[in-house]
Amino acid sequence: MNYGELNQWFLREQQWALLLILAAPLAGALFSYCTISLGPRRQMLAGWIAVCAAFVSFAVSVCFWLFLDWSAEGGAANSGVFLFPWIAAGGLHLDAALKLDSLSLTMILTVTGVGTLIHLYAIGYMAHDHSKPRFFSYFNLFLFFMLLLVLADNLGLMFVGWEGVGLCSYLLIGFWHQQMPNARAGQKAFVVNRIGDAGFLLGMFLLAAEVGSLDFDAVQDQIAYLNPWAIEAACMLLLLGAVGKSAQIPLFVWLPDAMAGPTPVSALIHAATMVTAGVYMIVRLSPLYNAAPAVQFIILALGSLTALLAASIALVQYDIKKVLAYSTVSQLGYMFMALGAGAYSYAMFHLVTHAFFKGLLFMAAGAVITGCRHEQDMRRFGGLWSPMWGTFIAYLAGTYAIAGLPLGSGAYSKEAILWAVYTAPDTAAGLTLFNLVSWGGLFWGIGLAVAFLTACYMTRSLVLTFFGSYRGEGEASESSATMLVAMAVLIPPAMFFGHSRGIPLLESLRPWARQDLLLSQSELMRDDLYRALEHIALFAAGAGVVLMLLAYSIGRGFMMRLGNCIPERINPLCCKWWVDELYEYLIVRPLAFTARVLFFAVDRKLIDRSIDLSAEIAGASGQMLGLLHTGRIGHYLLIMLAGLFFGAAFWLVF
Amino acid sequence: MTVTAFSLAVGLVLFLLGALGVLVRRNVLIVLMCLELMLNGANLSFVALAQAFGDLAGQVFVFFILAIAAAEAAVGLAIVLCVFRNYRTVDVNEAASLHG
Repeated sequence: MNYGELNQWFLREQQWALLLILAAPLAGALFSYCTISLGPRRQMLAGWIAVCAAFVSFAVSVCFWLFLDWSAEGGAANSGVFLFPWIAAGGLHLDAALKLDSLSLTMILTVTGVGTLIHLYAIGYMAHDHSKPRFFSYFNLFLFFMLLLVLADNLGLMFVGWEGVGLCSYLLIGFWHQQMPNARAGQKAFVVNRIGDAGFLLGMFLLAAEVGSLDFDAVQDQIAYLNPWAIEAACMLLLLGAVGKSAQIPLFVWLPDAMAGPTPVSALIHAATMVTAGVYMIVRLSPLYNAAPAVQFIILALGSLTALLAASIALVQYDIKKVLAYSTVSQLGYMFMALGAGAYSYAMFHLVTHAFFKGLLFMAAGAVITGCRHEQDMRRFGGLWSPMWGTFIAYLAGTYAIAGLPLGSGAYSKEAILWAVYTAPDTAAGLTLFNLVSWGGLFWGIGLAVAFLTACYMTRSLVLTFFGSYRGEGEASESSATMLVAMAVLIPPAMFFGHSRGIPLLESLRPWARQDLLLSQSELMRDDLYRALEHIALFAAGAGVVLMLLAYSIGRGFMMRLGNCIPERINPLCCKWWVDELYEYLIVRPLAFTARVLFFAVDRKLIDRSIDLSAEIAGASGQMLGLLHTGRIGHYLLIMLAGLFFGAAFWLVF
Repeated sequence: MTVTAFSLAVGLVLFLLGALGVLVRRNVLIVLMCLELMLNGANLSFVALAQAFGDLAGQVFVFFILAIAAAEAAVGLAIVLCVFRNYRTVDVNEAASLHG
């Protein structure tokens, strides 16, 4: 069969192929769980089943990318499959239907591609764990729900995937649930996400009531006829969902705690894929958000604030995974800035590059952690470049990319976002800040500061982990082959994706871009403003790297004094700006207090007591009436005769 | 005192004696016999009034009651037998396990 025939055959069978993308990880989840009946040694089979399932999805996704014509105008769905009518309630009809266009294709290629590598990595990482079937089953199930979320063609089905990934996230954060902190972290993630999901649901209800349908296409068609107020409200509510899932202010607190899960989980779910679901959802609904400028402004503000806050906290963390977690929150803030600026294609661009380099960084961090006997404190690392040079190269590449140094993939996507934010139309009715600087300029400034901070904290973690002398105990050793292979495969895309594939990606996402966005290489290079901003951002990133290298080589004593001059207890950075404490005192404690009051006053005293009382009344009356029941026939007969007598007397008299 | 009034009076006395026996006696067999006494008191009233009014229905009723009384005696004696087997006594007050 030659290439043309293969192409034809694939196009004929594309509906089945689309189903296969979803079915493979689901089947993988089932089969890998079945290995629980095998002996402990053979349970490693679960990992390979999971990897194969993820790879099948990835291969089919690549076939879609190769064989379908993605140059079609208008971003219409290139492929889709109708499964079955799902909900028909009154005027609302929801179908279980899938939709594949260039946006979802970008997403499934990223999810399945990075996902396959991280599955492979997990085989090495979980090699000594005793519940491999459970782990890989959850992992594959996560992949299934994520793909369902991405491929859904209406909000309802997307919500199924949305909740499914939330569930898998909860299960995997608390995977080692025998330790209380891990179980608590899982609960925190779950509860905080529920707050966002409540917003998602309400937004969905509002759209269902206003539009009468939840199909993305139908919503898009109806925008012109909708009440502007309803659009803003629906966008705001859905934004709450996105903020919860994508860990933005005010709901970002769960993501750093989510690092309690195994590192492959952090890499796949809490860095590369699930946390970007909020970004994807907003891109999916971008026509709606374009009609809600106030909400766009809020997204821009929230994103930039989150990026700055998280980057500042990442600067002082000592747990290597916490650094990467706050970095993830910060990079998601960049994506939200792009969304707020209407640059949806740039947000997707950064989403993809971030999935590559952050997945790589997490895998390298996990390799360091296993190599140092599950030590996560960077103060006990140091000089690890020589015992684990493979991991070092991976971490170096990831750092290079995320810091935004020239030609790294992070540089391209980050500079594109900064440019889009700078040129964002003044969404809040042309307001300027004190008539001095436009909002776009202000947010660009924040973005630039974040770029500088990103370079700083990533260089700091690199230096603390891999340079200097080893400060831990015992000997550090390199990780297993599967982990190194997975990292090695991810290094080229993390480094060079922005350069080689970024422009075609942006081209294919043109329908989701702001009209004035620059897309082609020549356009970008010809624009003077873009080049000026690009150079400023590169300079900021370079300055951050150089500053930190100097600080941790010749400026060691100064850094020590700087760290000592503010006690950790009152240092806003070390205390994570007291956000957790604020929530603890503002929400958790009052809620727990109210719950306790309700439990003792209402539940115990009122509800339980009234139920007890009714039982006591029934019991007491039974006791009383039981006295009549002597069991002696004579008594019964006497009563009967007396009744007969009085009845007869009554009848005779009246 | 006419025959009718005398018969009714005897019937009433029979009935009340029977009822008293049912209420106060403790031996199940005596209780059953007293029950028959009550039925016969009622029967006597039936025939007396049937004779007084010249209506055959009352007399027919008596035959029914006699037949049913025979059946009742059979069932009742069977129950007495069961009670005796379970309690080793025929004292009605001893068979009082249904008291509250």
